[in-house]
Amino acid sequence: MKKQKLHKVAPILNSISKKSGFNTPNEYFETLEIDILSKIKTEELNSEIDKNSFRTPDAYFDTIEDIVIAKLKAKSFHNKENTKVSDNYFDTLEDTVISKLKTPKRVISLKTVSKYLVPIAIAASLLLIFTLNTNKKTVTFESLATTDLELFIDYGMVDIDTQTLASTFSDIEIKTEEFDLFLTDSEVLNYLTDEDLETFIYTN
Amino acid sequence: MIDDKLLVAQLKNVKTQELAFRNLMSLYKKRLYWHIRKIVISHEDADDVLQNTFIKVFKNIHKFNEDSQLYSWMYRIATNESITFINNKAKKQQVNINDLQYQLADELSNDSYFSGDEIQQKLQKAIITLPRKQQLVFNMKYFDDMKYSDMSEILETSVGALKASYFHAVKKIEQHLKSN
Repeated sequence: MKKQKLHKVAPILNSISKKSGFNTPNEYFETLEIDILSKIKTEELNSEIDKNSFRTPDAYFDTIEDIVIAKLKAKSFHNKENTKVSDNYFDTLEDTVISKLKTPKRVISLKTVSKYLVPIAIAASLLLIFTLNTNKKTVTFESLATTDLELFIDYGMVDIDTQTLASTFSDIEIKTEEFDLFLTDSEVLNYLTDEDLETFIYTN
Repeated sequence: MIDDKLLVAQLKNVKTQELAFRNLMSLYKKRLYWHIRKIVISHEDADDVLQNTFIKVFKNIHKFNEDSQLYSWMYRIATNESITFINNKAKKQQVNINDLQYQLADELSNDSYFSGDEIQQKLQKAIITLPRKQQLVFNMKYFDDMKYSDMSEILETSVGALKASYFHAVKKIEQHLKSN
């Protein structure tokens, strides 16, 4: 479309200056080459340098949310615990346990116990018997006279047979002549009741 | 004037590459800038697109097979970069491309790098009403007075189609100016 034609077809457009009206900053075109070259150099340098040489484990970013949430829950649970321990409790726990393990415990032998307990038990038994069978309020082993003991034996209050007694007093000899007592007939007859006598006659 | 074939050879040679590229920019920076500026309107955007255009030329020069002229090849890159830039800008602002262009044209009165009068601003708004291809054709012919044969190579459109396109563009703009 030539100038003459434009005048006919578009007279208003033809009257407008062909200058677009657009401007540029001063010296824009003078520095343009430097700007573009420096940009290219920068891009080349950046492409040569691997900006991110750090790596992550496989699927790290796929699981990081779950890991963080699990840790937060665990922390929350720990904070809710009411039980508390003293400061440095867990730091010294191992030493405390080991020192306790090394300390020997005192073992009392059963043999030693019985050695002391048997005589004490016998004495206590006798003391109990005497206490229950006398009116005395307080009875001690020392307070018992030998005669008292003999009386108790004589009255059969202590279950002891002649054989045991003889073996106990092995140093005492019993003289047989002491039994050679003179007995009258009446004394014998008094000793033997009618029943006993009748039994005696029939058996002899 | 440096021969395009020699310039391309120097650009493909690592030893002469930088100097050749400086020469290339010196030769085409203004033409490409104004071509881009008429599409993206603001200077800041035109500067970004122009720099990206030259960087792409530098990086892709080994792919240039010289079937077309060097300047046609660079114009195509510049046109494509400009349209992509406008599309992305509209997408970021979540507006359609026409709305974005109207907005840019409205802001021209406040643009420190626009010294045109009211009628020139009206002309810019009228150009925006055109389809994309007609905008390009009108700008390249009306403002740059580019030959149809060169336009044909850049826009990969026949000369006849370009002439028709320009004719329709002129009629529409005249109509727009009349009614406004």
